This record gives sequence, C-alpha cells and structure tokens, in this order.
Amino acid sequence: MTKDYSAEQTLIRLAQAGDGEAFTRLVERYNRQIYNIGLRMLGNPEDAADMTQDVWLKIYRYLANFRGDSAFSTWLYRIAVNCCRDYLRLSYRTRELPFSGFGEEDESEAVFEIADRSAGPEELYLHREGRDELLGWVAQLSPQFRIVLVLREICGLSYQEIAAAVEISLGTVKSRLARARAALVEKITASREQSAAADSHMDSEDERGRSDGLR
Amino acid sequence: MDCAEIRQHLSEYLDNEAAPVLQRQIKEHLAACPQCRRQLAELHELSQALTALSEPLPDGLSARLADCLTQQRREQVSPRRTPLHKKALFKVASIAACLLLCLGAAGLAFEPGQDGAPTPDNSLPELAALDADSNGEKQLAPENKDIGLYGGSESADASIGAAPSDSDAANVAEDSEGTTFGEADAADTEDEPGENSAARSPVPFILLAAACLLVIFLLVWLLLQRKKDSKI
Ligand SMILES: [Zn+2]
Repeated sequence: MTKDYSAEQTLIRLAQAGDGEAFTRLVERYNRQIYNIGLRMLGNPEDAADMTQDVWLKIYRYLANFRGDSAFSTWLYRIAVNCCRDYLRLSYRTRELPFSGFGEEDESEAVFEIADRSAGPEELYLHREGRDELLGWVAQLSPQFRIVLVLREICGLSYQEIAAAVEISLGTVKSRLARARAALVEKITASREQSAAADSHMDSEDERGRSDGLR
Repeated sequence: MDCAEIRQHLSEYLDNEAAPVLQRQIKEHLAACPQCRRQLAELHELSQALTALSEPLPDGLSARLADCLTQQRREQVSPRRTPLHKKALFKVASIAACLLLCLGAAGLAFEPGQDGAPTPDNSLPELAALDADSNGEKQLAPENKDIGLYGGSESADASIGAAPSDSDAANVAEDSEGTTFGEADAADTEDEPGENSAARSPVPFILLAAACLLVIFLLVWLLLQRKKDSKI
C-alpha cells in the first residue's frame, strides 16, 4: 500500500505517528517561509538558519500535542513567531535596547525604529538602489510592523492567520500593515524624487560641460 | 467617502481583506478617481517588490535540518523503548523477590522454631526490594548513556516503581503465608518436630511459590498498565 503524501492532513497524521518521510514533507512545505521570517526579522542568514532549526525541533517535539483545533499552518507560524521573538529579545538585550515584543501597544508606536547606529540609515542606503534600498527600509521598520509585513508579503498569510500567529487583533493587523506600507511608499517616493533631482542636476552639468567643450 | 478615507483602506482593499461593502465602495471610488488609483498602483508595486524579497533556502540548510531531526528521532526512540525495558526489569525484580520469598518460606517451614517465624519473614520484603534495586541498576546502567537526560529519572522511576510493588507483593504474600502457615504450623505441632519435616511433601511450597509469582506478576502488570494509561 502506498501512502498518499499530497494532503496536508494526511501528512500531519503520518508525522504524528512517527513517519519521518511525512515530517520531511512538512518541512519542505514550510521551510522557505520560516527561513525568510528569520532572515527578515533577524537580519542575517546565520541567525535565520539557527532559528529555522529551532522552529522545526519545537514542531517535531510538540507535533503530538497538535490537536487540529486550529489550522496546522497557524500553529506552525505561531511557533515560528514566538521563536523569532525570543531571538530578537536576546539580540536587543545584547545591544542594550528595549524590546517589547510584537503585542498590542499604544497608538503612538513608531513605524520606523529610531536608528542607534552612528552612520545613519540614510547614509547606509543612500547609494543603493531598488531591492537593496527596499531591504534597508524593511530592516528599519519596528519589529511589530515588520513581522506583520513579512507574514503578509513574503509568507502570504491572510489577516486572520497573521492575527493568530502574532496574537494581536485583526484591527491591529490592518492598521499596522497600512501604516508600514504607507511609510515604505513614502520612502520610495522620496528616494525617487531625490535621484530624479540628482539626475537632472547631472544632466545640466553634462550639458554645461558639453557646451564648454564646444566653445 | 472622500479620498483621505479611501486611502486609509487601500491596503486592505489590495489584499481583498476589507469588508464586502467597503470593498465595493472603494472599487466604485477608484473607477472615478485617478489619484487614488495611482496610490493603489504604488501599493501594488511595493507589494510585488516585497514579495520578491523572499530568498531561496541557503545551501546545506535542508541537510542540516535532516541531520538534526534524525538525531532528535534517535533520542526520542530510547524513551519509547523503555516500557519494554521496564517490563524486563520488573520481571527480573519480581522473580528475585519470589525466589527470596520462597527460599525464606521453605527455610521457615523446615525450621522447627515457630516463635522465630515473624522475624525472618519481615526482613524478606527489604531483601527483595534491595535485590530489585541492584538488579535495576545493573539493567539501566549501560542504557543511561543513550537516554541522556531521561536516564536519571528513568532509573529512579524504575526503582521507585519496583519497591512498592515488591513490598505490596510481599505484604500480600505475608498475609497468605500467615494463613497457610497457620495451618501448617497447626499440622506441625501435631506431628513430632525434628526429622519429620525433612520427609514432608514439597507440594505446598511449590504451590506457595507459584502463588507468590502469580501475585507479583499481576501487581507488576497492573502497575505497567496504569503507567501506560497515565501517559495517554
Ligand atoms: Zn480618490
């Protein structure tokens, strides 16, 4: 008798019964998403890989406790978000910065973190373009905005799933996403205007140079 | 709704997560408002750029995970194997206890002094428990390395499990001895003490030994069963 590994429900049941192959299939299904949560939240591939491993070990250990009251993906993403929170807490502590998790806060939460680096983020990313520039801005988002954005845009979760994974209300998911996106659009627009201005400046310099040369 | 209000909800509109009524209202507004359409286009563009930030898994991560999980699986197999192991331990412990009990009982029966009977009888459960403990340690010692964290609690668990069952069994056995030996003693007093005891049939002792065995195995089986239930 061959096992049907296509349905997730079946995979979970087989994995719970100790089927290693089924568990590997589950890993393959979600691994990239979990790694990318780690990569975007922690900022470097080494921590992201460590976090990914921790998440799968936790899932392996607690899979027997998964009763199917919620969707498996919701359960899995909640574990990933919790793991990510632990890593961030440690990283903030070593940098002696306050970290308050991803939970609900007052209305005044800032979309971007106040950069503590001596070299300002603008300086760091000014000369970069496109993808790198965007990465820089995403990295500067406050963690509670970043996690929602990453879960939506990179993992493709629904608002309901994000709310369950981060343990915040649906309203908070909506407002954080809207604010994070608006802030990023603003950055992109400003950057474009800046480079357009620089280009036109360069163009006029070029023209002047050319006309000088002609003379 | 004016443009400012619409723009507040464009993000959820883009994700198709706005309430149906709102979703329709925005759609109608967008059809008539190029400025808001431009805003939506910017959000859409951003969304695509963000989705494109997803990076492939680094080389070696899958292999590393597979290794790690295989190791984890191996660690988890040992505790799952311990019930069987425990069963063997209990068997050894109870057999030892039975042997001691029966030897003691036989010794008692051959001994002509009836007043001395309670003293060796009382020491029997302790001996049995001691024997079980040393057996348990011998059995578990090599396993401890494999089990790692679980090892300590496992052996403690086993010896704790073994001790009460043995003493229980011993108590039960003591009771039954009390009655059977009462009769045996009564028979003894009628007979002439001394050489007569050597000529007695061994059947009662074999029966007694069998009874002891049965009682102890039952107790052990019950204990194991209860443990299995509490695990689920
Ligand atoms: Zn408008």
